[in-house]
Order: sequence, then structure tokens, then C-alpha cells
Amino acid sequence: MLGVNEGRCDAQALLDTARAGTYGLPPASDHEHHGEHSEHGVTRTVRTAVHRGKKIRIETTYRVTIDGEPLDGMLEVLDNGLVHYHGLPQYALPSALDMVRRVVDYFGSLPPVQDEVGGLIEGGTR
Amino acid sequence: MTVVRRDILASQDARDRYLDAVIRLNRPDTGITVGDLYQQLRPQVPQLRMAGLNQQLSMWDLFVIWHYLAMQITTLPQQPLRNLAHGGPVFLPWHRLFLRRLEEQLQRVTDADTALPYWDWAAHGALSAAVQRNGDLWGERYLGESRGQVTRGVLGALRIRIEGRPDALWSVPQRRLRRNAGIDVARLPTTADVRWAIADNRYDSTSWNYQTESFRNKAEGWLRRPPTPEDPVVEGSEMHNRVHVWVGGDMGPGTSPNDPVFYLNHCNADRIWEAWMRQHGRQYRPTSTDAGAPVGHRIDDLMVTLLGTPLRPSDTLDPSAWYVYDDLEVG
Repeated sequence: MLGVNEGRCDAQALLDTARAGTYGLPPASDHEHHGEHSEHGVTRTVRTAVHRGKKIRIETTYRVTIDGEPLDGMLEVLDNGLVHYHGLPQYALPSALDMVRRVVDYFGSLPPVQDEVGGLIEGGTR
Repeated sequence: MTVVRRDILASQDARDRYLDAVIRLNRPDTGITVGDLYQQLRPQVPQLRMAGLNQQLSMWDLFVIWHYLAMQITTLPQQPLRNLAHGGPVFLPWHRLFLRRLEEQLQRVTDADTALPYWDWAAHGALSAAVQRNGDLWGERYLGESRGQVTRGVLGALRIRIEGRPDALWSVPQRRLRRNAGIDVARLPTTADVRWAIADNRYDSTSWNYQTESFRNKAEGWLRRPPTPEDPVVEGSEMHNRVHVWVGGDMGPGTSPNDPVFYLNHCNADRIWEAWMRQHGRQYRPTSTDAGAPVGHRIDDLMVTLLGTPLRPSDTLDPSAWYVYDDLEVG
């Protein structure tokens, strides 16, 4: 049965092992570093296709605010027209309005929390 | 040793061990604070934002953060649906690794022969919506309430400390688990859905994403099964995705491993994958030479790992040294 110290040592050891393996991350040059958050509530999706030899490009931009505050997190338009929101990863809904309603359902009444960690400030995004 | 994974509704021993271990792992006793972890992760994952209280984390919380972390790394700009754990071929092997590491923790705090249980949700898919959300699984003897705060049963003692919010991963004052079952979709997936997925002999194929006609994509839940005269009701997200959406509450955001039902859902998805491999072989695509295959999803790419040694999809294709299922008759 587990003792308290054993649990502590186990967690840090597992974290250290993962860090030694660079968390299994692909090289930074191979993956996207900056596409997961909207910029002041604005997200952009580009869809492309080739049809009868013609190159189709559809660029969709959403500028979303809720009570005047920009919505953070990416909205993605799927090729079938459904809208996906990164913060609710299993949802794909018929419209951006439907999706933002879900965002309000999930996150609209969460109480504010004091930020002692400082990730939003240090990230330079606020 | 190889352990046997069983249906949580069919084995009281599996249920009791799982719920007991969950509460043990939920204690904030790792000695690791949110601030410490954030400082460790930021140099290699600069897109990760963590905010809120600088409190001590539990092992349970570390798994929640691990899942959220994998979601933050996308394979294409402006397309977050396919990240390094979802929306592509790596969905099943990444979650197999994730569940196995959790199972090792269950064993650490109980016994070496403890196994993760599964929830055979499709077996309930034909029941009425009211019965689905009021069944035994949601009673005091199992997982507690299906709607509202979870106050009953063993999981009434579970505490949530990590929330995925639109702007960041937040460390919040401890609170109870929340669910909202049957609101955004009324019904669970059915055995017809499972049969439809398993009948597809392609594990995955181009374009390796949410549009692909493949077993993986059907099991994950981005494709919609054509309605049949016997079962005309097909609504919203499907299969694994549908279970997240059906449970709702803490199962909705990227921090869904907060709810122990996350593991029961994914254990069943893993069981369906195992049943598929029994029928179609232990095959995986893409290989390392498939043109256009996304980095992080190929058979020999390392998978995002927060706890322990990172593995590749190829390491997970035969789990028999770790576990077997008591029943692979999934459809």
C-alpha cells in the first residue's frame, strides 16, 4: 500500500523521465506553436479544394465577443461546414452561433479566480 | 503481469478497486505545485498557458494536465481539431498509453492485479433516454449523479482543481465534479454504431483527419452513420465523442479526465479497437513513409507524454503483456 513519501517520489520521477524524453514532442519546427488561441476574439480558417481542375480557397474569419469581451480559443470551420471549438473538443455544431451558445453554457458563469501562477501575464497575451 | 479489464457494471470488485484508487490518486500529495510544473513545461511547450492558484497537485490532476497538454499541439495552423491526441490516427494509441499509465497508478495504490474497468455504453444505447441517465451507473453504488454536482457515493469525495477555460488551463479552488447528462445529445451510441465502425477494415487513411473513412475516425466519432429504418435517430457527435457530449459537465472541456467516467469511456473505446484488431489484424496507418501523414501520428513517432517514458504507436499495438479484456463481443 502506498505511503505519502512514495507517492511524492513517484510523481516527480515520472515527470523527470518524461522531461528527459522531451515529453515525446516532435521537433518544434514540425508542429504548430501559435495557432491554438484567437487574437482578440478573431479566428480564421482557410479551406481549400481542387474541383474540375480549379483551385478553391475559402477563408472564414470569425470575430466573436460575449458581452463585449473577445472569446479566446480557436473556432475551426470543418470542410462539411460544421463549426468546432478547441475548448470543447468533442463538439462539432451546425453554426458558430450554436457553438458560442455552448461556450456560454459551459464557461459563462464560472467564478473568477486569482491568478497566482501568472500564465496569462507572462505569455504576453493580456 | 497481465490483468483482466472487466465491465464496471458486471464486477463489483473492479468497481470498488477503481473508485477507491481514484479517491486515493485525487489527494493533492505529490509535492508538485502548479507553478513548479508550469515552469518545467513552458520552455518546451510555449503555447501552454496555466493560470490560477499555485496549489499542490494530485496524481489525478497530473493526468488531467497531460491530456490538456497534448491537445495544445496541433498538426496544422488554425486547425486545432487534429492535435497530438485527437482528430487523427494517434487518437487510439495515445489514449491506450494514457490509460495504461493511469492503470499503473491504480495498481500502485491498490494491488498489482487491479485493472481499469470499462463502461459498455453501447449496451445501453437502445434504452430510453430517461433510463440511460437514471441507470445503475449513476447511483450511489457507482459513479454518483448524472446531472448537477456529484455528491453521492464514493465520488462525492472527489475534488476538481484543474479547469480548461477558453483562455488558459486554470487551477481553481477545489470543487465537486459536475455532470449534465443527456442535455446536448439525448442518447448514447448503439451497438449498431459499433458494428458499423468495426466493419471498416481500414484503420486509417488519407486525409488522416476528421473526414477520413476509417475505423479510427468512426470510433472517435467524427463520422455519422447513415440512418436505417430500424434506427433512424442519429444526432450530433458519435461514438466516443458522443459519450463525452452526453455526460457533459466536466466531460466537455479538454480537462475531461477530471471525471472518472472519462477512463471508463476510453477503456471501452480501447476495447472496441482491440475487437477490431482481432478481426482485421494488428495493423496501423500511417507508416513512417506514407506521404502527407501528419507528424506525431505516424507509427514510429513518439507520443506526447507527461508521466514516464514516451512510447510510439507501434509500442501499443499489442497490449497483451499489460492487459486483456474479459469480453470482446462488442457489437
